[in-house]
Amino acid sequence: MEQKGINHCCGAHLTVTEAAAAAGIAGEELLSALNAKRDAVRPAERRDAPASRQIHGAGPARILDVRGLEPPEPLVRVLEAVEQLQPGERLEILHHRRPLILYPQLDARGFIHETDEPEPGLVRIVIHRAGAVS
Amino acid sequence: VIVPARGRPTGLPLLYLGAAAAAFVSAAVGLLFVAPDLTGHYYHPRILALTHTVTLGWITLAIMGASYQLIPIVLQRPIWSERLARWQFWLLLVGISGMVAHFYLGTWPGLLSAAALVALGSCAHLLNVSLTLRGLSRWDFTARLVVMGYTGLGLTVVFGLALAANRMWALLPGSVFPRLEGHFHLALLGWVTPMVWGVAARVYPMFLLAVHPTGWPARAQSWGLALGVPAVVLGLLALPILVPWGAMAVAVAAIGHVAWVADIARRRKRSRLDWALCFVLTGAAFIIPGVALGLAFAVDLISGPRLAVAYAIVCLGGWVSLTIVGMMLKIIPFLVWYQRYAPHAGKGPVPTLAQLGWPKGEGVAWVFLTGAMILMPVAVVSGEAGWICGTAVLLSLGALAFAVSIACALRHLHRPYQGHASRLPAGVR
Repeated sequence: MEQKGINHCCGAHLTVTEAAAAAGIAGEELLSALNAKRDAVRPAERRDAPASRQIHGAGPARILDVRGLEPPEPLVRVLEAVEQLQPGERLEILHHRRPLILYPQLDARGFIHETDEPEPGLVRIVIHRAGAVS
Repeated sequence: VIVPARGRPTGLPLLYLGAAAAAFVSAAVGLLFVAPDLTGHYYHPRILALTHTVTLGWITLAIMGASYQLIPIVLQRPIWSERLARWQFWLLLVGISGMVAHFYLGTWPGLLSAAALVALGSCAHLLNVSLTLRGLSRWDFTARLVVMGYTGLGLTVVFGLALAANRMWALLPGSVFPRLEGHFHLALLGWVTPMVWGVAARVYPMFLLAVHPTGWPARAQSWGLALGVPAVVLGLLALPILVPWGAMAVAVAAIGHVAWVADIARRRKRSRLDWALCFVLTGAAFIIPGVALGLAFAVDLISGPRLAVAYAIVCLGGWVSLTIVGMMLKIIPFLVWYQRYAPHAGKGPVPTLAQLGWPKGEGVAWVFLTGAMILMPVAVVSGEAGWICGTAVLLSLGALAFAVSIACALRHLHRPYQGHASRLPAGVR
């Protein structure tokens, strides 16, 4: 982030897309830089160190990036993470496509989910426990 | 906000893929009995029966089953009607069985009736997929090739039905062999090739952790097939001057595909290849001799029924079958895992995909099937019945090892993983 000159604005309050836009660089460029940095970190550390921040003015959110994982690892990682969600907490998943196999599992477990595509090739799913977030 | 689509049933693709695997084993074992006939001309009832067991029972059912599994994932559209897909399966199963039996017996009225059932089942599939893809907003590489493939399926089915009717009423002009070659190439290049390449464009990167085809390899595949397939088929049927040009366009498409596969295999993030990926990469390698033989036929460098059979074995066996075996060794364990263990994921440890299968069996299948696909064309060209029988034994052993590997995964539907049973969450029994 510092290399891209956006440490001053990103903090814990903007999405990656918003941060890239604020700094005037392409989202893809920022994601590539972040992914390169992420790849240098040990997988266990990556998995266990989700960032906390605010989304759309709701409760705190954890981020889980499951891009570049072989099926069914993304599904397992997401379901492990959602089971640990506290009431009022949100989980933001970064995926390279809409995970159609995930939705029935989330529905069956009573989670609310919302999917959008902030940019081509990046799908974001925000998950929280039913009735936990207004 | 994108509205999530409905979930996917795993039983439906498993139905198709299980039947396809059974047809593959049947064809491999059946080859033991048909092997002596391969020393003669390919236009023989028993060879036609075997060919349609492979093309319809194995390849077509596998592609349709994989479509019902993968279209919702890669094109992000839920299947329009699962009920229609099940009706379609039974129509196809009865129709294909009838066609194979009537080819074997050489009874043409029965063949036409069975072909009509296959046509009906194929129409149901085309209707289901058309309504599934209706409103698709992103026509990417995979979507374009899938549509190309389904166009090819429709034309191949009409062509095949016309050939069956022609057996009774002699409706079609021209001689019989160009028509058969046109039908074969329409099925291989118009239906199977775009479907396999379109699906490969999404599935290979998913498991190799690599990139989708872009740039010239993608354009070469799309345009090469779009221009080459009509030219080859029209050339074989009516305008022979088109055949070499069409073959060259298809060769360009094949070069694009092989170049892309070689590139993602080299640049993959996943360092270790499992046997399923070895199968798909080996299948891609068979495209090279397949295209070389096809070009040689197109420019009249080679000719003759034995070389034609060798060409068909390289294409349908070496390239298409090894590729489909590889994809099935990924898809079936995944479907089983999803149905059996996904509801428990996150609540406790669940087995990995590798733990569901039988890697040693997959390795044995790769050795035997690859060996058979290399040696069988040579044996057929030599015309030695003993050699052909020997390679048929290799093929059967490989097919059985593949079937056992698939059965190991399917067993989990009724008997869950026992390796670390104490670690499995409550509810997995």
